[in-house]
Amino acid sequence: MREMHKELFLLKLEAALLPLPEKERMEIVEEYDAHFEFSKQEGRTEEEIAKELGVPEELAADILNDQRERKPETLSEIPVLETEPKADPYPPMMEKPISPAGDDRSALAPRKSAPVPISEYMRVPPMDYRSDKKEESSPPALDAEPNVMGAGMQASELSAQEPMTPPSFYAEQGRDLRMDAPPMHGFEGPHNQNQAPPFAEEPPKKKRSAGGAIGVLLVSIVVIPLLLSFWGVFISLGAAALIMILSPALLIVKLYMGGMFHGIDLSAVLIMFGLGIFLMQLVWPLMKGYSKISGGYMRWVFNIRKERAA
Amino acid sequence: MKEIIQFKKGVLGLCVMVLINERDQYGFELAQQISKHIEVAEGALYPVLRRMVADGHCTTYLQESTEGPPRKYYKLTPEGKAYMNELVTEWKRFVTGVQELMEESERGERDA
Repeated sequence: MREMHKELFLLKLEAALLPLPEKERMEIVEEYDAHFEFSKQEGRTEEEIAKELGVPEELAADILNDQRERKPETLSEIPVLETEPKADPYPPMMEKPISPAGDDRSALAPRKSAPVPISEYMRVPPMDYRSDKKEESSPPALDAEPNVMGAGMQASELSAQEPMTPPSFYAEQGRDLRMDAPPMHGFEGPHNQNQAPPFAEEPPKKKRSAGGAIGVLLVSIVVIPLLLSFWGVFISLGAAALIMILSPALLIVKLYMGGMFHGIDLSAVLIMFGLGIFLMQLVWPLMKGYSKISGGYMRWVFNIRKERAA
Repeated sequence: MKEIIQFKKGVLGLCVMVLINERDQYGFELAQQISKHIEVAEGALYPVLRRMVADGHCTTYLQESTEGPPRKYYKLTPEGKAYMNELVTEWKRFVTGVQELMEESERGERDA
């Protein structure tokens, strides 16, 4: 496999330096290129050299910082290619007293002690090497503008895949470069949590996607008629039980209305009464269970989750 | 406090100035020499060199070579030399001060 580490390093460096005027950018890239060549003459591999040099984006950030202090007008408004800083364990402060011993998050940080795997900034899937081959045919200087933009695009993809850029240095640099982020950014997180509304009273609602809604609709078309018909069954059974229980009363009404008293009426009524109670005992729990089921179904349709009290 | 802020950027710069005060050197050479003594990301050297040139503390010239790419040599300017002397003094003072502080603190701990 061809060694690509130098090309990758220089590509990323160049891309990160896009805000600089071209002449200065190329001068810088050429100097790093020469460093690779000299170091290779001494027998080191491109991979080792890249590791020793550090993270190209950080180096570029340092350079851009200086340029911003000195001659901000020379910087073009190309957005700085920057990875998303991860949660910063050391919230950066605006006025940071920088001591040589204490601050180890700059580009000066000792790198040889911690074994820095090349994968730290070289974390690219194999397919990016294939696309790198396209760039390989053109010389590293990458003079033509379209090529440079292509390189920029490549590098931005590559740097977007780099989760391991030391976040604190980066966050600091990013802040300098943007010049607008609030200084106490790191403290916003805990603060927000304190102000978050308590969830105890409100059942949290999950959002359902459009696809989910359509699914619910289709299911409902089948389920709801079934649901309703079973309700019909339960209602009629319940009504029957009720009437049977009420049958003695009906008998009394009949007698009161002047009907003939037949002994058989009494037996019939008693039997009906008994059966009514029996039926009701059957139907009532079934009805309760069924209403829970249909209630749950309706809730699912409307996507409400009830919090069970502990 | 300004000195200390300068130091962070300046420590490398200081080393570079001391080295090229001896003789003109090119970037890679400086990187090698410095990393012999200090653990540092060698890549950080070049932004420092660039800064020094922009500050007027050194100039560069290219020397073609048959063996490889042209070498960009760095040379100290008179202003650079003066600045270097200032920095060296400050640095020695600083290091001594820190040393004394630490020794005093250690003594204090022993006596406590």
